[in-house]
Amino acid sequence: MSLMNNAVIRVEWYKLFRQSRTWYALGALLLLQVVLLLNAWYQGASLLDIFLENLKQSFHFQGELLNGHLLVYIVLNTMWFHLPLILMIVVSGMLTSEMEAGTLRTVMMTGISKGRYIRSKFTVAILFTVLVVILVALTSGILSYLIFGVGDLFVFHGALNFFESNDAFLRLFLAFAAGSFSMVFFSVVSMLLAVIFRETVKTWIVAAFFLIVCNLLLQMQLGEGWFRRLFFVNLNDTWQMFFEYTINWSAILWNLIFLAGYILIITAVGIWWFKKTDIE
Amino acid sequence: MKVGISVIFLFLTASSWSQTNEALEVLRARMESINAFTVNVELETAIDFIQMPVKRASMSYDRDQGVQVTSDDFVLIPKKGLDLVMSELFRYDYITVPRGEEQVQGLESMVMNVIPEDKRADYAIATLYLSKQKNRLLQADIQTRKEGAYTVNMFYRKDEDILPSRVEVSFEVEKVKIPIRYLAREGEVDKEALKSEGAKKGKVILYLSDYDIELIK
Amino acid sequence: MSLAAIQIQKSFNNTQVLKQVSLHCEQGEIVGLLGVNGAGKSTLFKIIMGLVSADAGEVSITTNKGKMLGGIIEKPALYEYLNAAENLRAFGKIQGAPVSDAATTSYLERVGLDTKRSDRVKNYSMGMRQRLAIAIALLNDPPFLVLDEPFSGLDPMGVTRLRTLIMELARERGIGILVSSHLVDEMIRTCDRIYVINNGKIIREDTPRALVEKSTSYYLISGEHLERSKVLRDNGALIQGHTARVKEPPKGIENIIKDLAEEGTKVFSCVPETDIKKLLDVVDE
Repeated sequence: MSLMNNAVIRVEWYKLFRQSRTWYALGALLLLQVVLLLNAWYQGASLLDIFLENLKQSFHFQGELLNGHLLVYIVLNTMWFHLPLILMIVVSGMLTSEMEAGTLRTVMMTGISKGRYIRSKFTVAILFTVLVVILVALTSGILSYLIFGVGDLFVFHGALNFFESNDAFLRLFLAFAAGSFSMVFFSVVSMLLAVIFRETVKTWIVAAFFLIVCNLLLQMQLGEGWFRRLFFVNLNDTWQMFFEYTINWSAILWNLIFLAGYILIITAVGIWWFKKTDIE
Repeated sequence: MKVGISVIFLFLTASSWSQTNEALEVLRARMESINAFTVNVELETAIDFIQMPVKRASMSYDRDQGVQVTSDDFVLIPKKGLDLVMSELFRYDYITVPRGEEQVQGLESMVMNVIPEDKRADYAIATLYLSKQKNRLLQADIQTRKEGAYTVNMFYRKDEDILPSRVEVSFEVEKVKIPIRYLAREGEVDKEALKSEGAKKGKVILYLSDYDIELIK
Repeated sequence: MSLAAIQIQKSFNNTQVLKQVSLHCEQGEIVGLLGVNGAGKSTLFKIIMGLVSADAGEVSITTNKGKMLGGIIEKPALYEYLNAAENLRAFGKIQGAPVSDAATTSYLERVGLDTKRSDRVKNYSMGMRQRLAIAIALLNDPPFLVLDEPFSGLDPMGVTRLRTLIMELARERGIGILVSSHLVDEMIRTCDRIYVINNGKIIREDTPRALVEKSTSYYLISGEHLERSKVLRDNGALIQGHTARVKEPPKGIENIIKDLAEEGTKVFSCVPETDIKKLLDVVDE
């Protein structure tokens, strides 16, 4: 962790976790996990009925499909609004709260360069986001597997795909890993919005708006050809590709490379913008 | 013991009738000589809207208890076509009708209809393809009374094997209903497939190995 | 070592808020920037602190130290959710200042804060916040301090203590201090030299003594039985209890004091009533 050797980043990390808002956010996420798991269990049972009703005429089923893997998968599907929303609230607050309280001024008067300070904010935002994704993966996994055990995962992705337990586990793990790219994307966007809009509430509104539009555009599957492929909104769906029966590794890799490119560009714009603006 | 009753149809030659009847009786005797067996099964599902890895299970047959399949994995077990000893076919009295000869699996085979005489029988009519040389069942097209039709193809590794090493069960499966909201982004759902519900051909292939057969003494 | 702002200009949305502003401050000197709210004090200090960029002009600091400036702009902005020592440590680590327990304790002592107190800064009074903010500004021992409106929001006791602290820092540690305020009295009491800024322009640079004269038209005299004083009555004083408000006569306040003594009136104090408007109006004409 050479990153954490950087004193500025350590201070940012320390500040983040000394603020009650961060713990409220994490607490809210954990509570949501419980609610989502209940919902997943409920949804899972009815999904199985709906999907497998016709198959029951031709087949006997042996084994439990309403298991931990299915629940984690449903949680993965349902977390694409609230998780980025909470992340965006916390991450943008890291900067806007300092702007509003004036502590950003106090920091800037310590003689640290603007560039170094905003870089540390972006770094901590990314680290925090990855940590939260790991936390969500762990809590949903631990709760699901403890209560519902493991078994085959069935998903609908063009066809009814059945994955054996170990395969399912690996796919879910990779989906979380790919998902963390999307979450980091939303986090750096919210940091950029904080740099631009400066006020906490204004930034939250714009961030929520951005998130809603992204979700709508994703459902519309806008565009054709290369645009559709490279449009960041659609790239945020990359994690779904781990549930195609045959994983298209190169497509996923390219998507993640492009997403990482977007993250870098947004971060660079955020740093540039922060450096060029006065501290009020 | 059930006794098969044969009926002479005027349009059939006596020789073809006795030939088919004799072949079926030989098959039946062989099958009924099996008291129980266990076998390892690999199940391959070949249905276009289902993607599933090959599953391992073990199958056991017992004269009294019928067929049972057990597995540690989730398995889709076809409801029909696992009756390798054709016990359902021979349970009640039946009549046979010769239907000539055909090539099946590259082998000369005689074709016959088997029609149960008892309403309790689970099938309405079965068309059997029996190998002339090897004297065993290569294919059965079975029309059940209530659960549709299915076809069983059987492949054998060695001439002396009583039971097949590979069985393909083909049947009609109704397409699954897809709830649009769940588990797929709307953009991804193949709307055409969604509209054309209805039936699809499905096939389950069973690879059978390591038989442990207990014959009646 | 000296700190200088040279010909600074700044506009916001076509409004010029600083016009060719120049000032300087030497080591150990307390320099005041006096002006009403909106005169451009904070903007100038932000430019000096490097928070805001000037449209023209430059800030020059000649020193061999790593950290050249510490400061407070507008109000002491601290991490409310941390206690005093934690605040010092957080801001200290950012600039690579020593943040051991001994170091933070010595900074807290230097500004006269209770080193035992461990509750959050959220509960602190404005005076304590000012002190803590000064301690933070002093991290890494910069040769110059910039304090924007440090007296606002303080009770009289707090004002006195802060003034003492500022003077100590200048006299004992040789720190050059730039203070802004709209309170003429406090500036006169605290500063060695004062710039008056109005509408973004430095209109005057004076000693406190000269400013007192220019900004004072009334004096408050307190004493015993003022209502019986003929001298006060003759000079048109407005008497309320133990205090009389008297306009400075052409011959000077000292003559009134002398006359009062001769008359036998007991006087406890005579305080000039300064008026910042007077300073500004004079020049505007």
